[in-house]
Amino acid sequence: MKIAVCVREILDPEIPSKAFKIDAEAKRAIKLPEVELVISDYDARALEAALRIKDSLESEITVMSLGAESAKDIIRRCIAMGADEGILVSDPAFDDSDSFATACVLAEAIKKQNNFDLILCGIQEGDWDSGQVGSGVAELLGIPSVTRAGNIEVNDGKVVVERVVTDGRETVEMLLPALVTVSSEIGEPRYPSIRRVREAAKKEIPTWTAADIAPAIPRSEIVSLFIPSREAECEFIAGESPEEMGSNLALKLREAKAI
Amino acid sequence: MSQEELKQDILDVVTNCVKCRFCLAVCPLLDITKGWQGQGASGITLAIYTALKWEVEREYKEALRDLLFSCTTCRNCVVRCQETSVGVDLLDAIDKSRQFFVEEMYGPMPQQKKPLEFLERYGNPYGMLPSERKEWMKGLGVPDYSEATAAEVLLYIGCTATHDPRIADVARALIQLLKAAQVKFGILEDETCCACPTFRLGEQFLAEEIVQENISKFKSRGVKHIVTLSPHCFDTFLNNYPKSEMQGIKVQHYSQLLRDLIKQGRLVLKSKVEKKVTYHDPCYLGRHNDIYEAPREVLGSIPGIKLVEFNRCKADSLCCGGGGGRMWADFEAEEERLANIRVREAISLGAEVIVTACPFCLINMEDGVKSVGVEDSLKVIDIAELILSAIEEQG
Repeated sequence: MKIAVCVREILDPEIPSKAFKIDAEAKRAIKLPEVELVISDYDARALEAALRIKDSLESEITVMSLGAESAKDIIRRCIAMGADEGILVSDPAFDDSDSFATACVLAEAIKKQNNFDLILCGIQEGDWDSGQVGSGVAELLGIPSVTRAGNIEVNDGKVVVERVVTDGRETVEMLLPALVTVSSEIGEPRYPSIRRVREAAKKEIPTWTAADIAPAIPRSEIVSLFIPSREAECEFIAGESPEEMGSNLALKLREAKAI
Repeated sequence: MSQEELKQDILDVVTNCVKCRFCLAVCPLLDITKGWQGQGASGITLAIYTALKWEVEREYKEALRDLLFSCTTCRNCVVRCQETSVGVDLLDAIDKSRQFFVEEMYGPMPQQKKPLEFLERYGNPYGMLPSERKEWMKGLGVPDYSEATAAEVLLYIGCTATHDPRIADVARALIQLLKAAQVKFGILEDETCCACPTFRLGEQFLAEEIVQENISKFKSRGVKHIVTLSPHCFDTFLNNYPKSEMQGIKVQHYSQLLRDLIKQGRLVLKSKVEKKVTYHDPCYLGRHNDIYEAPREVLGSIPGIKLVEFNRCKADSLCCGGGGGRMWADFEAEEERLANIRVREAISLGAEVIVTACPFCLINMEDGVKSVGVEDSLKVIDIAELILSAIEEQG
């Protein structure tokens, strides 16, 4: 069983909001020196899904990432978690890839390796949240796909996916090869000890460039990028009793046309 | 230590357990769970023993993980075993089992992953950026510690005080006291975690990296005397840092320094505090390091104070529930919170104030007061805050 997991490096989403800065002109988020880059959480869960398959079925997991040289660190972290190898696709020519262009490059990278039974992606990116790359890769490869997996089982050349839907779960069966996007419901990714992380840091990660894979032309453009301003005022409603406070609150809300 | 060596060590420790079950009676987990044997003390270590000896499936290991990481590491079982049975160090088995589970990627608890990741990324378990942590120091008028500043004492604030506003109040009170007593002290502007959460959560490799970083910081700045705000930092420096590397560095919890300053007449307690107070022994000060008297001597110096003891005090003290990495996790099997029990015990003593000397105890106990609904009749404060109110008229 050969599994590919697509992962993406993002700015640590846990940083305080005041440390999140953007360059409005370049239409990009700015990485402050003290802020770390991490694996997108949804992608970490896709890897966890792959590792659970590997726990019960002999499998080989390859992690693929389109990104900067620094993304080798998250690939190595995936290896510390139990992936077997990783490939970085990196070139300045890929810099402005949107979801479509990213899907094209990843699909080409997967084709170049040409031996995967199952491809797993996070349900969406942890930064832009567009959620289009996984389905895009499947479409470009011409293989079936299921999104929002809460559980994945593989047996007899088929993958059975429990798909998370608004009012419960639906079970979908696909023939392999196939692509599945993984939702948070799959469960927490395992924690690799720092000993494993330091050990994996020695692993060489090959880089494929635009010479190996042709860049794709993006189909979308960021028109503007800004941090929405939010203003909040706090007012304590006075009153002699809870009932009076309640009716004063109701009057205030009506005055503000909130009710 | 390899996995095989860890496994052998765990089996060796637990093999000595004679299953007398005396430890179960004092395990705080049995106060808040259904009280099944496997939910506390030697019940946990025997379950781990069985799992290691006869290899169990992953799903059982996840259930075992929940038991293993629920331990408060309060050390009550170890003390009881030493006093009444064969003296097995169950906590050593718990610590090593956690290391084993983390290395096997079964542990820690899902909620405890973030603090470990934050420790690796930013040097603290709360995810504060280094610049954010420094903000706390602004306006305090405390110099960065170095020999050049002629500081005698390195005040080790700890991560919780720089993150939690309530504990920052305690740190400010302590700083005021040290200034009043004219102690020459400094703080590390680039202070990071002492490594306590990494040791408690079984992340040994990261712990050792942090220890080495801190030791080189202490050495390069010529640190001779460390005073910690938290009993957890105190215990880590004292018992987890290599003794050879810490040679020549005196480590104190601040309650010990306050006792010394009062004895030397450098802190004069003039104002009466006419309150009925009870002192809650933090596990990592009391049972882990036998410091029971210093805080009591400090309290005894306050004019007008009436100290009443919990029925479970000193070596029998009940854990607040915050030790062993539990500040970052909730456990489904628990039906009650230890701090709530402690608050009810204080109420039954007629105490008006619970005094403690640990950030975790303070946070948990204040939550307990709110959750039990006794905010009007019971306050929780730190010893430093109480002493500050007793010297306020001074100078």
